[in-house]
Amino acid sequence: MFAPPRSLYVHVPFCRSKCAYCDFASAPLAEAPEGLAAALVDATLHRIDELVARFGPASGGFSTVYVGGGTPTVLPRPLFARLLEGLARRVVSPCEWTVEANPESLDREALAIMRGVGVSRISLGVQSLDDALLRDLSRPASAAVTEAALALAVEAGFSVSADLIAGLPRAGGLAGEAAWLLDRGVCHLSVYDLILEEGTPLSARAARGELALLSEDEALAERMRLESLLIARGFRRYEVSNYAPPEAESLHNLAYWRMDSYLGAGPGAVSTLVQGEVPGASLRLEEMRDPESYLRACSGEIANPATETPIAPRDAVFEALMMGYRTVFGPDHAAFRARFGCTPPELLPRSLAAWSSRLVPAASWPGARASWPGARPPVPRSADERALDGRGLDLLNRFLLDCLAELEERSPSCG
Amino acid sequence: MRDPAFIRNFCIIAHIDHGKSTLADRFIEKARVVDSRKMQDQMLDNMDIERERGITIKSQAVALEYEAKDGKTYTLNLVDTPGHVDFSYEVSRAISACEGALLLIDATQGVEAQTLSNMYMALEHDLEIIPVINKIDMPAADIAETRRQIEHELGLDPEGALLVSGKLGTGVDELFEAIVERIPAPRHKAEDPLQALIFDSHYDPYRGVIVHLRVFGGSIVPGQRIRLMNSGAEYEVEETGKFRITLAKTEGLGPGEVGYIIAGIKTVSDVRVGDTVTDAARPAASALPGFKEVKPVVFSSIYPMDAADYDELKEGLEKLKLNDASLVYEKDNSVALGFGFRCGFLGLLHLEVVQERLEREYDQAIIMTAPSVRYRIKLTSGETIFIDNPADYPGPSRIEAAEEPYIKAQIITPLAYIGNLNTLCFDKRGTLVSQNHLDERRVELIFEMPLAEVLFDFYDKLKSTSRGYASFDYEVIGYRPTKLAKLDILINDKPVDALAQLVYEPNAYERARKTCERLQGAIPRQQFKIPIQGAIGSKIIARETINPVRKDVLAKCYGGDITRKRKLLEKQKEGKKRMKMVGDVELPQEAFLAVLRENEENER
Ligand SMILES: Nc1nc2c(ncn2[C@@H]2O[C@H](COP(=O)(O)OP(=O)(O)O)[C@@H](O)[C@H]2O)c(=O)[nH]1
Ligand code: SF4
Ligand SMILES: [Mg+2]
Repeated sequence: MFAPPRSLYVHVPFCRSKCAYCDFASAPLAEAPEGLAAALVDATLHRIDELVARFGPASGGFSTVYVGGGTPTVLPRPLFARLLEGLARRVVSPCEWTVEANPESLDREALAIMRGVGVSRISLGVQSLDDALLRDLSRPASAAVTEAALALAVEAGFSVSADLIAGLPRAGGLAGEAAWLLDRGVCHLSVYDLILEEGTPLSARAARGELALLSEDEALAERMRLESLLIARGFRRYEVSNYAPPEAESLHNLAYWRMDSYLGAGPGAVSTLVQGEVPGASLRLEEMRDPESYLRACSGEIANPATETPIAPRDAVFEALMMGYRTVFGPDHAAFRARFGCTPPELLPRSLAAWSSRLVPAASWPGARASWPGARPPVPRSADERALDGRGLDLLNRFLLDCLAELEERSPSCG
Repeated sequence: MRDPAFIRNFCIIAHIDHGKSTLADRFIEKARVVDSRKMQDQMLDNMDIERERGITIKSQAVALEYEAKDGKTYTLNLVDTPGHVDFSYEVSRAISACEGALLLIDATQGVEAQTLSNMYMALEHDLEIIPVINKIDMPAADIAETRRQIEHELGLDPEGALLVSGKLGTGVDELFEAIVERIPAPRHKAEDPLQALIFDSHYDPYRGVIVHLRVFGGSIVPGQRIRLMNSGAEYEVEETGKFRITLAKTEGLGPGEVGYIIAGIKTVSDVRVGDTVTDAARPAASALPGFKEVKPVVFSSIYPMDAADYDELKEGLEKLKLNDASLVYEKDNSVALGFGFRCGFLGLLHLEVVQERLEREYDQAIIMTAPSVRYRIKLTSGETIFIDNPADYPGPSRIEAAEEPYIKAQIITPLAYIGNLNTLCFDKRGTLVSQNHLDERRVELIFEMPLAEVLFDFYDKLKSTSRGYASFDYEVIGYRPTKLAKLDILINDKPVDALAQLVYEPNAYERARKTCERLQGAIPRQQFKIPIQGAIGSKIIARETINPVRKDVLAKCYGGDITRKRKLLEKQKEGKKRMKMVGDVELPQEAFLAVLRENEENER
């Protein structure tokens, strides 16, 4: 039996235009065939019903919902309303409902629709406040547009998270931009190091030497300035790229990092159903990425809209470690024992010993919002639960490679 | 056995890539030995590596039946010859098994270094030479210029040159006729005592060693007792035959014939290319001339990446040795790398071929140490020793005098690069012996220089200085005095024996600096700072530092990224298997190669 999913992700594969660094499943809405977006909204809602019928949860019991993309707010308002209202009918009062938005497509009307259905959180794709840099990245927004959109969202009472892209030189500096955002009410930050994905215009420019990137030393200095600012404002780095004050973390994303079951609908979305108890494989469903094929598949015209792959227990163990150690909470021992019959210290004595200087006691789970499955009475974590410290998070891949080597040497089950 | 009047033995000689293997394919095809549909490209090159690198490593022969315009059928024995300087002795043996040679010249490249050196070799053996202008189908083909070079640089009659496209088969019929008309038939007699030249051998897992030979006088038949005149070993012939695409049994091999024998020989190192086969009961008065024992000149140690794979490496080397008589090795061990083998090679290409074959055919992950030449050292005790392994370096106080092997290097280059090439060779301690103008555009430079200098950075620099136009050939000419020192490399303050090198003392600083720089480029950052130092004795002469890794983490990892990120890490973990823990530092296989190879990106 799979543990029932409590988190739902919905993918909207459209944006206003394509950013220079982007390799997500998203295309400019203006280039999409007439009626495609509307048909996709309906198909996606229908697909959610299918997934829920098969995997749960019963009676719409999702704790978190996340509508991402792409840029969901790029949808024409009636369609945007149809999607959100459709979701609201399927989900019973989640404790967190996030919608991704880009400043250029966030207006009063969109905010009103969101308010109306119970969206609580907006993740705003700011990336930078330097207009020259934004143009360079082919982002349609500007600092002024961002400022206006942000003011509206905060005024409307949403909890606002902002994304920033690090590693590129910008006029105000990374910390300067973060301070500006916090001053205007942003209460959660995701700061991603720029990844030059193969095949994007930006990586081509970088290969031709036409892209000014920060040197390693400069990037490090920027990060340090950012972190001291954020610490002073009561934020902590609770995941490799995410900062928030305690209890303001993204619960939906925490579900991924805890490796709880989750559903994903819409082109390119992924579901993972974890095995509730030992032994047995977990299951991953990857929805087709191409919107038109996805449509046809959802309408039953062609095969299953998703590729289904069982995840062997050994891989599931590694995934749970890979995700869990991204956060200050570390892997959850109780969940580990239930799923795999053992805990990380039993599995990885050598790696944990080798990295002991980078491991600190795991932080307690955010507990205030009680209906979240990770939430529990604010009891301390058990004494041997560990998470990586700041430098450890920066070296996460090295740590995981050690873990992977150690896992490979032992028998698949816990001894 | 065939009447020698209807036999033609010939080889194709050419500079590398001028199209020898391709033309050989056309010959076989035209002679209908195999159905053209069944042809693999370049079927004479039957090893994977060769196909990939486009070079012929072992020579092979093939016999074709050809019906000439005179209505008679001739046996044309084609001997395919190797095309690289490391194997030039094998080229010379293959050439001496023939009466004629097709001298192939790429019409887009013209005459190059090995065109000349191979032609001289053919002339030394009194071969009839047929110049063949190849690749005439290419737009860049310059037939008039190639003709002119044939006349002025080779001194051959350009009117006799044939125009061919090996790729398309154009002109190949005319070439057959020319072979029959112009190449002399063998002149030896069946009544003479047996004299047959071994020009190659290979190991067949089912049949044992197959000796490739050319009969001069007498004949050879199954049951006959034979003697190898230089080694003295005797065997009984079990089978004789000819090279078709597969081995084709015959009742014997008569005068002038090219073929193979099987005679219960265990390994290819029991037979030496160039040795003479004679009848044990009625031996020939003398062996055929030109026998030479090929000696390794380049040495390097091979270690398994994973010490537990030592036995597999040993097995791999043993199997390679079955087919490669020139490979020599003995047990070796290193503090850093454990047990391995010290190996001797004919040259750098030979070394690379062995490395690749071990990795590919025998699936071995290996580490090779910096190649070294063999030094001759007179000790203060009066004793003379040879060393090629830094581990055997006796220390300066025990050395009275040291000598190192020198080569005569022939470089052919367009005029424009003479200055740069001279500078390069002078830097490499070369002395210019002569400079000959081949025509108004090109020059032949003859240098004498230490072989050791060719092992480190020479080929790449030669190619970059001359934009790829200069060609290079060399032979070892003997020992000359040198100043020898041992360069130690310390990683994280500990000497790594497998990185130590024997160097020319005045160049030690430069070499140490480069080695440290390259190691810095090749060793991935680790969690701590790693000093890399070069030292002579206790004196540090070069230093680099590898800064600790700052960040190694995937910035984004959400619900849709998990499979991809897990696979990425799994792949990286596989890559880590190609790392060797030396002390507490992980060294990738490339770190050991970095010591040997030029890598533009690493150079500052
Ligand atoms: N266009 C053209 N290419 C040729 C011809 N002969 C050989 N080549 C190409 O030249 C390269 C070297 O040929 P190969 O036979 O391996 O040369 P080898 O090193 O002398 O054996 C290969 O890429 C061949 O395909 C020819 O007549 N015409
Ligand atoms: S807004 Fe986001 S998803 Fe859309 S193109 Fe830009 S980076 Fe890609
Ligand atoms: Mg070839």
